[in-house]
Amino acid sequence: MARVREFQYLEATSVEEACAWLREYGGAKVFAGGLALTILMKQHLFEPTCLINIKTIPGLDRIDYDAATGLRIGPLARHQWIAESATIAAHYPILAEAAGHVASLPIRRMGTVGGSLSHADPATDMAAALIAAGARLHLRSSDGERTLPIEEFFLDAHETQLQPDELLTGISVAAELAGRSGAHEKLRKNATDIPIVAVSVTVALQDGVLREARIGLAAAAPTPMRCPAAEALLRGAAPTAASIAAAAAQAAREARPISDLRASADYRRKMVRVLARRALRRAVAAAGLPIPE
Amino acid sequence: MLISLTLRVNGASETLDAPANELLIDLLRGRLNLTGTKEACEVGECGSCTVLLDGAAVRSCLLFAFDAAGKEITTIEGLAVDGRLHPLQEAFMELGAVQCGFCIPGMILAAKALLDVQPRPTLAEIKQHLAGNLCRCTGYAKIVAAVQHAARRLAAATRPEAGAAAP
Repeated sequence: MARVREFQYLEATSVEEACAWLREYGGAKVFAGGLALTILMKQHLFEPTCLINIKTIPGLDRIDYDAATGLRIGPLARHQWIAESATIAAHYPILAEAAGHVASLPIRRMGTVGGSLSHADPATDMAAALIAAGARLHLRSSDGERTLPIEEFFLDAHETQLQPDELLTGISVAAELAGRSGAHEKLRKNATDIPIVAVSVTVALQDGVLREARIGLAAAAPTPMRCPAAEALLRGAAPTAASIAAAAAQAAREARPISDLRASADYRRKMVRVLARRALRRAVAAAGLPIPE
Repeated sequence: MLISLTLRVNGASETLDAPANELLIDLLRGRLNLTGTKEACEVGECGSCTVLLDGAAVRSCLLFAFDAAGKEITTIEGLAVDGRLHPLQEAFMELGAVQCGFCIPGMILAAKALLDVQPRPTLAEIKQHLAGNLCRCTGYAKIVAAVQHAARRLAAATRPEAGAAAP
């Protein structure tokens, strides 16, 4: 058996061409950073008959910010670029912080954010952070484009809304969500591991109360997930130790963790509570508000 | 399916036909006999297969050869110049940073990627750049010390007044 099963290889020069080929070649898969996909192919767990390289499409790796229209991240943007982007650090700091937590430097330089989201591993730091940031995903096929909130993109472990002929063409965050303080808390075995559990939050404060908080979890359910009930507890609340503790406990109740080699479901649920509390406290502190006990 | 590739390996231009499913590490080891590049974990976690692609450390075991087309590749065999070892290689030998040696090509190339852009790295920068390279002999302290030693030596060698002051 070959080390990697043979496949047909195509280089797309435009999004339109990639979408047309995805429809034309059944069994084709989009090739971007080539990390998670190549591992699956080496392990013979997934063997596409055709790879369509989209790194040959100009412009899909751009990171653009405009005060009126917000942030647009191309699917080929590398994790390290997001970690190092002064623009993202200034306007959407949760994304820069989480990107710096992903794997090791070579992997952050090779791996694309669009590829990581499309792979849809539940233990994905950037997915939790993009949920907390309020990101939307743009999906294109030959029939047109649709957009959806990132938390609706994930259906199950490694299953997404992406149809076989669809391409993730962009990640956007609205301008009105810029400037929110955030924090990403990650529990892991070693410096480069995926999260055992990770919690990402952003907060918007107004007149001493939380106008809105967004909470994203990684490795706490079969998909990256948002915690709407915990967020609802914080809406309009003063950020006190008690309100934060209550929201963290609610986030732990919303989590749907599994047991695997890294941790038991019970431990993960307890850690969601601990990390959510830490993340909320740190995000509020970063917004310049002391937390009364 | 064969893809015609031109790439530069350790300064020499190579033009060859690569099957689409050929990984860069297999091209380097199996076809160019550059066996200094090692493969251990096969999934990108250990860093044994590190090579430099246009100066940046990458995982050659997860890189298809077609993805290296037109790029400059440096393997551990490309570090010595005219039979003289690179200061990193000398430092690893002098400080006893090598135990079994299997991880060392990757360690040295990851360190070179850092020193090439940051000649005076902090301890934290060295640790960050080596975090993706695992040594199962557990010899990290001497590896970090060797990188610091090489950085000092390279800095001294490139400082203009150092040459002028030599007897």
